[in-house]
Amino acid sequence: MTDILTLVFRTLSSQTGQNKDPTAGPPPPAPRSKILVVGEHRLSRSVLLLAAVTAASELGVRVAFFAQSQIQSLPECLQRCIATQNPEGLKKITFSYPRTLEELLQQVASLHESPCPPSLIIIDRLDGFLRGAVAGSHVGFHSGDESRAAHLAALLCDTAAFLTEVLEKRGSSSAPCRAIASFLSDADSGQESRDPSATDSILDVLDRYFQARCTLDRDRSYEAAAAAAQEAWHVYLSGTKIPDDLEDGPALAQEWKLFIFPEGLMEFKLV
Amino acid sequence: MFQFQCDGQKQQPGVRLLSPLNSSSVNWNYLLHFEIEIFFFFFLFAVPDDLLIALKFVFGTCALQALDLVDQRSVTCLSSPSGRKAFQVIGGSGRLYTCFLSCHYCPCPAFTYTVLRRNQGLLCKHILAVYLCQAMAVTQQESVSDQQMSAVLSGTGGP
Repeated sequence: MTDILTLVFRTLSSQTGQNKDPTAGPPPPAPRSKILVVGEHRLSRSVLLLAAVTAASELGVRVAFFAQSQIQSLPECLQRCIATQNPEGLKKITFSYPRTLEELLQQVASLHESPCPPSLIIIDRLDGFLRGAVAGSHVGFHSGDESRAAHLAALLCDTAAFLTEVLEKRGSSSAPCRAIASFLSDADSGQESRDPSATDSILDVLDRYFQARCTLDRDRSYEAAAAAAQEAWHVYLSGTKIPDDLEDGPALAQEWKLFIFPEGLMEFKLV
Repeated sequence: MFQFQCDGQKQQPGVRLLSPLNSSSVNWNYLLHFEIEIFFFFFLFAVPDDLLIALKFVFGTCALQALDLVDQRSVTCLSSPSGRKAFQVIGGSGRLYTCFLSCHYCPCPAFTYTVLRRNQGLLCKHILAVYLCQAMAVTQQESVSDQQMSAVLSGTGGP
């Protein structure tokens, strides 16, 4: 999945040659197939949609996109990308809108029944599904949420592992099956009642199952203004070392800068 | 405990420990990034004392509870026509727990409290029982439909 995200970032990077030479430096770490995007909802959804479109059109893989709320419009940069992409590729994306955690679990659990299984599973706003599991709960997580979060994350991982086997047996170039989900922690949601020194227990649980994290952090310096952009963000790709990494190679650690311009265009820059 | 049978091949039983989880805060640092692979190739139905001691050392009281579940033949591997598999373990209270093939998860309170919340263990007795039953080839087998498998995996139903 980190390979798809890196492809997204490179595709939308500046063409002015300011990026670092991707072939310089130590060999990159092995791509991770499961990644958690942590950050503000609006931007994380845009990243997920970019990943879906890139995977479907550039790599030709089937995508299953799960979200609680319907996608009303696509990011501006995505609309421009779609105009130049093969429209047939976009038909490979299936959108589903489960309303509850139980519906989401059922739909992910039944992916193995599909004759044409996806190679990329995307879940937007895990926090929304998990918070909604407690009736009437709109603030924070509650006892028992760790188990529900672990169940969903483990089901996602197990499903991706199974579909990888299926794709490999079929000799498909779409293997492995990747998974990406977005999550907004209590800390990032700005809950004033929360102890700032407390860790997010749900995020700790999710970190057990996702190999890498993509953190979206707003840059509130003057860099956005300097770039004539409306917003500037830090995008960190991080993860612990896995057996597929080179023994002397680095663990996953990449930093990108994201500029969002007034017309909605997005530009990534490798730091 | 069981009938002892040896296949005659000399193999050195050993333990490689690999954590499929990404947890970086497990108290026992020497358990990180290792794989649990217990070789019982020539011990088909008996567990040697030294391996029992090793299990107890690594997993504590969880090991004895897991071996009780193995004795009771409590682990069943469900498989469906699509090829999807899952494990179901009958707990001490008679409750049925569904565990996954490729990563550690169990809906039991011990897993939630000891593993997820307190980070004081890698697994519960149900998951360890699955590993042991697989290694000792005493897992029950059961076939279910694809729809039943989906219900089991989602936690909404089961055979």
